[in-house]
Amino acid sequence: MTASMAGRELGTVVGLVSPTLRGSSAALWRAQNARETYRAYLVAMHGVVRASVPLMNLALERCRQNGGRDRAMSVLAARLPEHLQAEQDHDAWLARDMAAAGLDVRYELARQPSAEIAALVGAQYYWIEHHHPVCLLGYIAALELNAPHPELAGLLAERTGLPSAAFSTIRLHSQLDAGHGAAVLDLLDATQLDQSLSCAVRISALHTIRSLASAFDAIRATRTHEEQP
Amino acid sequence: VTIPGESNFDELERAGFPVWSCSEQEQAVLAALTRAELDLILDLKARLDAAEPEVQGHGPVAGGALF
Repeated sequence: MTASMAGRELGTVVGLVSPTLRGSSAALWRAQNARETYRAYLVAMHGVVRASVPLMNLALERCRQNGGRDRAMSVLAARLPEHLQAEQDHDAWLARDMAAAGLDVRYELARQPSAEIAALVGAQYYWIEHHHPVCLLGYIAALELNAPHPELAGLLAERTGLPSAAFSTIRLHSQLDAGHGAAVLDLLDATQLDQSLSCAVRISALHTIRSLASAFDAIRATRTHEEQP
Repeated sequence: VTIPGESNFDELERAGFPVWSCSEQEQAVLAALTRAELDLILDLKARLDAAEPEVQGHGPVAGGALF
């Protein structure tokens, strides 16, 4: 593999395993109690999304501190701010959706996020601090390249009976994230990673997909358990 | 289960990935995967294979990762 192809290489690997994540999400959306399942999904996703800007800020800070160490950190220090701008306030969107879905937002946000969400997001804090901030691009790409399908918001509104306002975040992400995903792969190409860091980014993406599939499976398992008499 | 001497292509194909229909560029990526990457990919494929057939052929009612 050549050093400047890291983005395209990551796209190939994510494409190979994305069917597993889509399968887990499809199973989630087929659950019997669609309304309660969607509410649990919103709470779980708030646990993910509220860490997006802090994760990028941490990566940016580490890159600025070590900017001269390698080209990847210099490129990230220059280009992460524009990506940061694009992700502002998404947690506030989700909180509004939670309220529109009938959840007590203050109560839900006071609850501890699940172990699956901690494993998904927490790995990124570890790799930024203890390996290399560029690992975060694997996480971002894996999530952005598996954004909600454009028809999902309408289908879920039909299945749950919840108002349209409860689906604004997935509706917006289905419109925005395809472009964001491509931009992250381009950014990765620009970093000109060596083989070792390219591999680290792909491992980060694969871990992300596996952890998110586990988080979706855990929501479904909890809902199924609660539905049993 | 890994078989000594087996290539990445062989392992991926045995797991059900249509690797020989991939483009040359994609095949170059797959050939260079490390053991750690391959293990994660095979684990994810096993999870998909264990899922119910109706969710393996998911339609628009899929996706949902948010960043």
